[in-house]
Amino acid sequence: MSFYVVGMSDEGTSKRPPQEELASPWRRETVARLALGGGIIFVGGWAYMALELARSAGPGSQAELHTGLDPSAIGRGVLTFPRLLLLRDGRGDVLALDRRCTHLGCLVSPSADGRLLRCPCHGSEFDRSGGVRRGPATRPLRRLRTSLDSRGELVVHVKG
Amino acid sequence: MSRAERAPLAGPLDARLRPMGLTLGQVAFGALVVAVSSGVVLGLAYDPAEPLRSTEAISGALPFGFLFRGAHILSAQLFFVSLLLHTADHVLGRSYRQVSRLSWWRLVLVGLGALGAMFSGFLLRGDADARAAQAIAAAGLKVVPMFGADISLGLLGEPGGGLQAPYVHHLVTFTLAPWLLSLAHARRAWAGALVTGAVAALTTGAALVYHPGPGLPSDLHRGVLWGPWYFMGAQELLRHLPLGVVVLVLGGGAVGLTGGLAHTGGASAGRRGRVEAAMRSAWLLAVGGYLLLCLASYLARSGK
Repeated sequence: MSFYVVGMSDEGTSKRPPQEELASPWRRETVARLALGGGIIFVGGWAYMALELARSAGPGSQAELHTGLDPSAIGRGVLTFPRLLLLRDGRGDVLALDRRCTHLGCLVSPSADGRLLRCPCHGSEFDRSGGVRRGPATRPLRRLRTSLDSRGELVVHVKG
Repeated sequence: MSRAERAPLAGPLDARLRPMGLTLGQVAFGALVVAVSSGVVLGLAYDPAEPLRSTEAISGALPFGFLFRGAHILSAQLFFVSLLLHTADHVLGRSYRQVSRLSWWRLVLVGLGALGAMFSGFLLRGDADARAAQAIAAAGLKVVPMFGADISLGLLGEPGGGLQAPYVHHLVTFTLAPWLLSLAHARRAWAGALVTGAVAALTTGAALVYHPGPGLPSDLHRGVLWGPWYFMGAQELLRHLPLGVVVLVLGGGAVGLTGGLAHTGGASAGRRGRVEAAMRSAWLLAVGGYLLLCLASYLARSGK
């Protein structure tokens, strides 16, 4: 069944105002500004939420590392963990050092004889107490606090 | 003359390749198609939470994994090199005079996206080299005022943690965005069957011979870390200059010089003409010099 409206053809003879009249420059500008503002807020909101999500999904902020080691087991060598080194300094004290080079964050590794700690990225060198022997690093390796747990095993306080 | 009627822009290198039915842009596009196709297959077997183990499995244990990985790496390198040559060709041929500023800046974004795709792909190896590159890039991004730490976290994730962030950006952000931006530039969705097929055959054939290994975990590494070849010049500069200076000179210099060419007005004479000539020469010298620095750094580090 078809309906016809008397007086209207396909051409649309009714007095419909042209598009330009409906969308005056002022109105178009306002709509464009609102759209831009809304877009910026939307993108900013997305970026904020994405960062919050990324932060909370990052690696766990482990505060302590239970090494399971008796301190007397640490000899003259350097024990290498993914993010820290365990060794004895010149006075024979057990030392835990953050492996991240203070220059740009690459992981330092002990030299073959264990006397130096070297950064493989830009060649910084540190002595066994973490002090800078050669740049470009200018700050010593970060020392991490250590303690003993109830079984007398070494605990490294990674965050402290 | 409308844009559609305008003859395709050609630099001196393209002018030599065109009689063979090729352009550098087509080669780059063909290589991108192969890299994306092989990347989709690799993505099925890759776990960003266990990057090194994934890479080991793809390189050694999974059937044809080495082939797809080799083709992916080689086509990506071909993409990057041909894009660099394509850009140099158009700087030599002063094509930036014939496109709008907006179009030229859009192409600068394509270049940045391509660099992001290459670098994030390198990080996905998850070996000692990749972890070091991630730490250095994170430190570099943190130099950016105000939002540096957030940009670093959003793009690279936490150094030492999983590689979810670079994985997602490698797959989507740095692949899709340059592709979409290229659509407007090249006015075609891909390079054509012939070029794409030739690049696919070339890179897959080469992958039969070239088997890149998975690398070493960070805690086993004792040598010198290299990073990707295009990163080695920056590595060398970082040995001698503060990080902020290197980021400003390399990052700001590259984007500013390339994008700035579109603002020189395209005049051959007068003050603007001299500015254009100076910027063009500076671009060519800077890119050439940086590539030489990468080569010198490689030779110095490998003891050659």
